[in-house]
Order: sequence, then structure tokens, then C-alpha cells
Amino acid sequence: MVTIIITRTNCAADNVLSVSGVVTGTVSGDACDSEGSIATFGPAVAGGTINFDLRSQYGTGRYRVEGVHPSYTVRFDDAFGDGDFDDIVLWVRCTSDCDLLDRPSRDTILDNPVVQSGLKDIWELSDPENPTMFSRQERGMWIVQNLQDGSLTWVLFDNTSNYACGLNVPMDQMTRLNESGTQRVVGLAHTHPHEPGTYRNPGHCTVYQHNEITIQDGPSGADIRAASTLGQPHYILDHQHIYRVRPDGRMQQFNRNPNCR
Amino acid sequence: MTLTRSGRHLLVVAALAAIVGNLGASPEQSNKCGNLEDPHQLLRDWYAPTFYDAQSAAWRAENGIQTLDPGTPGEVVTDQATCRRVMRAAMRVFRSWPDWREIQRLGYEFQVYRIGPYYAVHYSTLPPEGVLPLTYITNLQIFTADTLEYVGGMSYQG
Repeated sequence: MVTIIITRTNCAADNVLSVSGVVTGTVSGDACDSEGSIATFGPAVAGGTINFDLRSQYGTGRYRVEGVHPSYTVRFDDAFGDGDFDDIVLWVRCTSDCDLLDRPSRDTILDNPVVQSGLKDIWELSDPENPTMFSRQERGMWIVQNLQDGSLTWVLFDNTSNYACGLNVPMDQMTRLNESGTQRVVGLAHTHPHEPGTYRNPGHCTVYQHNEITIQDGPSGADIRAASTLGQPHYILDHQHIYRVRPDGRMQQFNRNPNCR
Repeated sequence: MTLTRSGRHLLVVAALAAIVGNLGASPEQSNKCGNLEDPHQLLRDWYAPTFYDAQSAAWRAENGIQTLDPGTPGEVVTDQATCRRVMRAAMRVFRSWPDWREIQRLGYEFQVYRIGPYYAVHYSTLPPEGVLPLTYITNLQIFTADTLEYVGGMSYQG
């Protein structure tokens, strides 16, 4: 699978962005107005290349690629003439088709390959191997069902969710998704990229800078409360496990496949 | 009685106003020992182990905190007079922090615990109205039980 997120835009309207190569399709018909949108393609042929095509009112855009497999940043210049390569910025991740769990969970959401692709992506976006523990960042996503065909997809939590001290549920985004009439939220997931242990507090969170800080293992009371408040299953992904918290508070732990990242 | 979030918020603010503004108020005016919904769960899962587990050993040594016997359960303090005394000591520490006004502005929950030869005061800020947090951060400030001397603190993130 290939996931493409438009992370930043700084351009005028009517930019059409598409991909070709191991995957083919339109990322956005109006990329300048699609900051935060996600497109997934695949499955993709292994070992090939992806080409990007940006058509703007000024002509065909150019791009630069940074990063190494499996995650890349692609920066576009929209041919306006300033050569700034900041008109559209993409985060591109090539996800292997491996199963995220060491065995099937018998949970129709968790065993779904598209949902698993999303879980792999939010895990990667969390920067889970960053040696500076508090540079890692919890990330979240909605699990969304198409009301017409019942298929599942996922939507990254919008940028109102992350703040200095951690992660909140973007409630307005859930309302918007449910009000679309074509889909409904059927679950949520987020990451725990910090490894349990006791650390020096970097003072990243204004009101909690007096103490050392202990990172706890597993879902917190807040995670359990979110499942019950929203009436949705809540999946929590850490380095070794995926936890499922049901709205009634029941919790189950699944083991991650150590060979699938 | 089930309180709405805003109702709970008001209760917390009222309880803290009583503590901060009038530490000598009569016990029936508010609960001096805390207002956590489930104080036992945090004590069992997060707080008590800090006093004997291996991962907190360096922190205990650094702060001169005794290592207790593994499994020492601790208790949720319910005696109002004791809690008033502990919270008075805690407030002396909290008021010295530059960010304490911000914590007060946000509103917070608190709870008094006894763990071995220490009193421990939990506080955690309340989320703004309509916000559902996924990151839960709490704080535990520790005082000697005999002299109520402040010995250190630990934050917890889950």
C-alpha cells in the first residue's frame, strides 16, 4: 500500500496532483485546498518507482524527494516561477502488506488490511524510534465505514488533536465525518510510541515540569473513558501490542508481529 | 449523584477554593481528601509501585525516598483533619511554582494518599469543556508523614 498525506500547502487553487508507476491514481483534484487529506493506493508492485504529476494554472510542477524507504517527503513547486518548492508538501509512506498482528484477532476492524495500513501509518508518523523520547508524538485516526458498500477506511486525526502535553480526541472532526451522510465513524485508534520507564521531564508540557515522568504501560483511564464516551471501540498501538478497549470498558490485548513495521 | 463535566468542574473549583482560600473551613463544606472518581485504581496501578519498583529506584535514591516492601498497598486517606494538614503543606509547595496560577486557571482534581511513611498528593488538570483527552498526565507530590516535609514528586503519563 502507498499512503500519501498532503501535509502542507501554500498555493492557489486548481492544482491537480496524481501518481503513476507502481500505483496509479489522483491524489487530489484540488491539492491546494486539501491540506491534511489522505489518499491510499495499492497494493503496489514491490521494487518499483512512483512518479508524481502536478498540473497547476501555471503549468506542470516540479518536485524534490527527501527521505529513505519506507517514508518520504515530496516538495512541489507549482511552476509559478519562484522555485520555492513549498507549494505542496506530501508525506508518502510505502507500507508492506504484512500482517500487523502475530495472528488474526477475529476482530473485523483490526484484521482489515486498510485499517492495518492506517495503523502502520500513524505508528510511523509517531516517530516511534526517535531516541529523544519526548520527540515522539502520539498520533490518532478515525476508523470510518462507507455506508453504501460497508467498506472500511481511516482518516488521520486533524491538527486540532495534538498539543504540547499529548493528544486529544478531535470531536468536531468526528461530527463532520458522521454528518457527511456517506460514512460513519466506527472506531478510533491512537499510538503509544513512548516506551514505559522513568525519564527526565523535558518541560514540554507547561503545567507538568516539576517532576521526573513515568510512562505507563497499556491503555490509560483516559483511553478507556474515550471508548465509553464515544461508544466506539478504541485501539491503542504500542511497540509490542495492540489493545482493544470496548465501550463497556472490556479490554483485550493482541501481540504485534515483530517482523511487520 | 452523577455530575456533568461542568458540574464536576464547579465542584473541583469549589473544593479547591475552600482549601486555598480558607484552609480552616469546616470539614463538611468540602471533601478535604480529594475528588478523584476512582482514587484506588491510580494508587494500585501507578502510585504505590513507584515506592518499590525497579524503574523508579534511581528517582527514589535521588530524592532520599525509602524503598518500601514490594506490594505495599498504600491507602486513600479519608480523615478530613489529616487531609487539611497535608493539603496545607502541599499548597505551600504548589504556590511557589511559577505555573501554579495556570494550573488553578485550568482547574484540577486532587487526592491525598498515605503510602508507607509518606503522604502523597495527586493533582491533575482538568481538560477544557468539550475536550476528550487521550493523554492522561497526573502528578504525585510526596511529603514525609511525620513532619510533612516535601521530598519530591513524580509525573505519570498514560
